[in-house]
Amino acid sequence: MKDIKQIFALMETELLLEFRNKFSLASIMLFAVVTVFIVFKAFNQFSPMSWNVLYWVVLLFISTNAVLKTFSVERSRTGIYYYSLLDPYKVIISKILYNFLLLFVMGILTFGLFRYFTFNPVSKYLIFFGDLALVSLGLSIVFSFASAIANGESNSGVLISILGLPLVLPILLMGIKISTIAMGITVDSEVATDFIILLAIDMMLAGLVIILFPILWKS
Amino acid sequence: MTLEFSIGRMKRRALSLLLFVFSFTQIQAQSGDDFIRSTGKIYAVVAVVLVLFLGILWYLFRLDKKIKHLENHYNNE
Amino acid sequence: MSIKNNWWKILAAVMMIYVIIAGFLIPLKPGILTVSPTYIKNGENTSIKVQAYNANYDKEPNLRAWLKFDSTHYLASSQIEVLDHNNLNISFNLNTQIPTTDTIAPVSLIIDSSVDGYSLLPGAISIKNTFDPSLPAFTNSALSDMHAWTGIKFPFRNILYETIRNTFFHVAIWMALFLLSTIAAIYSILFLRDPTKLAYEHRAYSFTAVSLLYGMIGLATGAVWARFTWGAYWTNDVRLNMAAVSVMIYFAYFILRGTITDQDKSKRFAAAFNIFAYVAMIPLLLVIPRLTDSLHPGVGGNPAFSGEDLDNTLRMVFYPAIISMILLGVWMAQIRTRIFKIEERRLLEQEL
Repeated sequence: MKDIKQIFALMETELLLEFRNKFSLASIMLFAVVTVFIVFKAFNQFSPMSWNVLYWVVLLFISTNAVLKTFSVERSRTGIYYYSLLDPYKVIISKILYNFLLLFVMGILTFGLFRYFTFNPVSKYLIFFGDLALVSLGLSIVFSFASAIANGESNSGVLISILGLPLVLPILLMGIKISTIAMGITVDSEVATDFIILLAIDMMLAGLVIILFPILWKS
Repeated sequence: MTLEFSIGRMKRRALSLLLFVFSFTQIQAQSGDDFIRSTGKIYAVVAVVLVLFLGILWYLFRLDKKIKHLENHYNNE
Repeated sequence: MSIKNNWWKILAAVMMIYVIIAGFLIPLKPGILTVSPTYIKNGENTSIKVQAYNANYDKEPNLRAWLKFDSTHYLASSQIEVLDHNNLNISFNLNTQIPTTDTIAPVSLIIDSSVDGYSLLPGAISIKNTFDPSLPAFTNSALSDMHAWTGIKFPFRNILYETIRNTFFHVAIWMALFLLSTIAAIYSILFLRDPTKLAYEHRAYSFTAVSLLYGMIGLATGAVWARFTWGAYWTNDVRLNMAAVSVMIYFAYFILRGTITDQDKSKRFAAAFNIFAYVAMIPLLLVIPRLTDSLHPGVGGNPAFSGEDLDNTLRMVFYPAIISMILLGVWMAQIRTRIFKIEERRLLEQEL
């Protein structure tokens, strides 16, 4: 119980830091708007399938940008202070959960933008948003891990992309597959199995990240 | 010196072999793959074994380069 | 160079030679290559030209042939004319009621010979049904006394033909990759448990390097094989694409290990990422392809290489192929580790 309280306290700090520096959140939102607008202007006409693929690709790029600075605060003197105080497991769990919430909100925002600029192909909202939740959880796990590794390097942005992109590919492919079902493009009775696979991949990666994170945290 | 020379020659040979294989497959592609598809596609198996062999050879050349680097350092000291 | 310490290298070489010789020299079982015409009409006395592969039809005086409609309806041939050992003209008396309500009935061709055993070409011919009630009723000529080949020959598969031999090279290298990357992951774990032991990290790196080499060879050989069976170097196949993704993940390992400037940190992070990559590879290569449709065998619910796909003759060469690939990989990884060892000693000497 105390652990959970601590994790929530960490998330709260994270959120406060994010809001104190207004530009960071605004920059991600601006990035989302601009990307969606470019995509909309470049394509003009969409088929539901290209809507689907573009939505996930845009979300992927937003997530690489949003997660980039996950550990940037810890590099400074506060980082050393953090290190002496905190249990690494709680740090990584709070980071993953915070990034997950951020990405989920960004996903809903991007959906709203896509809906505003183009049209709404989604017919089964429960499947679509469940899918979005699981994919953003997966993205947050992988990119949190990648940014923990790349933290402190001169070219951390490139390193995050190189480490993260191949790892999120299966998650994203499963996500696209499920969302085609949510849009009624393909009819699949085994959507539950797809969800279980996606959840299993997420859980496996989460377990690994939580086990391996203390090694990265110590340095 | 002689070692270096022979390795350089070997590399050139490997390169020319690669070029030969490449041009060979190009010719085959132009003639409609009839040769590779002949006699039950046995030449597709030959091509696969060749690719495998060239891959391992490439790694051996890399190892060779690393060992040569070390040798040079030891000889200079 | 004592035999006592190097027996496994000799074993690798001997097995490799055995695999290449046996893999190339053991012949294929006879099978039917092509049939013409592939589209015939009911109500005509039809002669079909059959081209077979590796067959000995001229040595068999008592050839028999059937058209198979389904598991209970067979039509025996009326006459078989042997042109040479691989070519036949088979006549069928198709003046009968076809036992189906479809307008076009796909039928399989079965040829039985006591020399070669029986061979079957599924969906060889399409028959246009006439539904003419004046034709005589269908008389079923059930199969009897079928001959099966029992000697040492590789199975004949449609489209694959001789390329079934690629199993010993393309499939075996992927199987070897699984073991080598497992060894790499184990050494990574050992290194993370005790980061002072650099030898573990060096071994992890070497085995990962060989795994990556095998992965790239696996993709390249797969591309060549695919070109001549599926028609394109790269297809939309799940297993192929997931394999490409896992090779990319392993590439990221080397980039990670190379880019981080702090030596200690780079090794520890790379080892952590190696474990991560290994565990991520399992769903990529073993779980996801099983759940979706694929061109690869053993996919879509059915286990790989059981019964139909891998017969005993194939196994006789396939297992030694895997073992020799593993031993060869261990050998190469060992040489890479020894280079590390010498480099490390040189650095130590320089410091002194």
